[in-house]
Amino acid sequence: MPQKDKPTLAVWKFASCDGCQLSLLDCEDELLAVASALQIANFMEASSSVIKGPYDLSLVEGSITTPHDAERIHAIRRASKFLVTIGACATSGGIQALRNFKDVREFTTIVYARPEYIETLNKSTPIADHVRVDFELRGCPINKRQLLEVVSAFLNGRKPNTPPHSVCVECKLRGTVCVMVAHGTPCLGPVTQAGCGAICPAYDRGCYGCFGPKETPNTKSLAASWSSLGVTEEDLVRTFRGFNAFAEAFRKESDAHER
Amino acid sequence: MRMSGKTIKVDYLARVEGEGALQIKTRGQQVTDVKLRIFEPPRFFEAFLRGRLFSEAPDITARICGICPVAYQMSACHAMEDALGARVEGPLRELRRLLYCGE
Repeated sequence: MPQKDKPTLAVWKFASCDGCQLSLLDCEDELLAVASALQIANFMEASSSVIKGPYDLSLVEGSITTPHDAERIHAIRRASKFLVTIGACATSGGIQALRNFKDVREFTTIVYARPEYIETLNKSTPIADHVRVDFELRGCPINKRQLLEVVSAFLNGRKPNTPPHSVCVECKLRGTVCVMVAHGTPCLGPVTQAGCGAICPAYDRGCYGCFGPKETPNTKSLAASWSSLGVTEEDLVRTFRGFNAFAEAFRKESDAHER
Repeated sequence: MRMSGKTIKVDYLARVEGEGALQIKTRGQQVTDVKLRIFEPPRFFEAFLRGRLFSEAPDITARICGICPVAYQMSACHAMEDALGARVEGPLRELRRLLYCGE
């Protein structure tokens, strides 16, 4: 039964993998608390029962890649009081934005036997390119603690506290020895926004940029450090073209190394 | 046996990545019509994986599906092992099996 006293939550999907919205269901210990504070009104991965909008809080996953979706996002914006994008797809275009650097028609012909059935745009773009977004949560996938922080901030009418500093700070906080300085392992940590908890360096692996560019990233300087470790220009192009390839700082750096 | 017609209609298949809808019509024990509609936009993994370093494939293919990323990661690993003629045995293989079954 709809409870009108509680704010309503809607979860929407565009081109994506479902992983970010599942982070909400992964909040096993906190899910009951979330459900007691919010009326889950539209969340197909959780329930087929849908309550009509408008919605107080909309979480939007995925990027815009079709003419139909470019229309649909406007209807969702109109039906939402507060709209938060969740994850790299919704915030920067996602891994499917690798098409943005190539010819999507060629992509369609090599993947599909009958390309004439496929309707797709030349570029995969973030939600903020289409409608006003109230908050963007980074990550591929997002961190569920940060998602709870966003929901909690919304419920309490405050700004979410998601630090814009680099993954390096998280390595220092957890006492991880720098993989780049100590082992010579190329790492995107210095230019990547924190949020994951610096998982990869803790396992002796370089960061590969799931949370996208941090504020004021010095990608040029980091690329020079990578070059001194023997990384080629071609490798640098690929490195910055990952899950956040179309985020401006990473896009520009990858373009700078492309011949 | 009574020959009654029945339609099973699922407008949204939630437990697979790649949004879709399914409609099955039956008459008695016979399936008379099946319609599967996939409305997930194409993402072109097969196309943009070309030219990537082989070691990047498991990280990229994991993003095909957030419900079952291990299936895609493992497929990518197996494909590369096949290409390189490598065979993973023993505890490592068992560990991977456990990870996959756990998913």
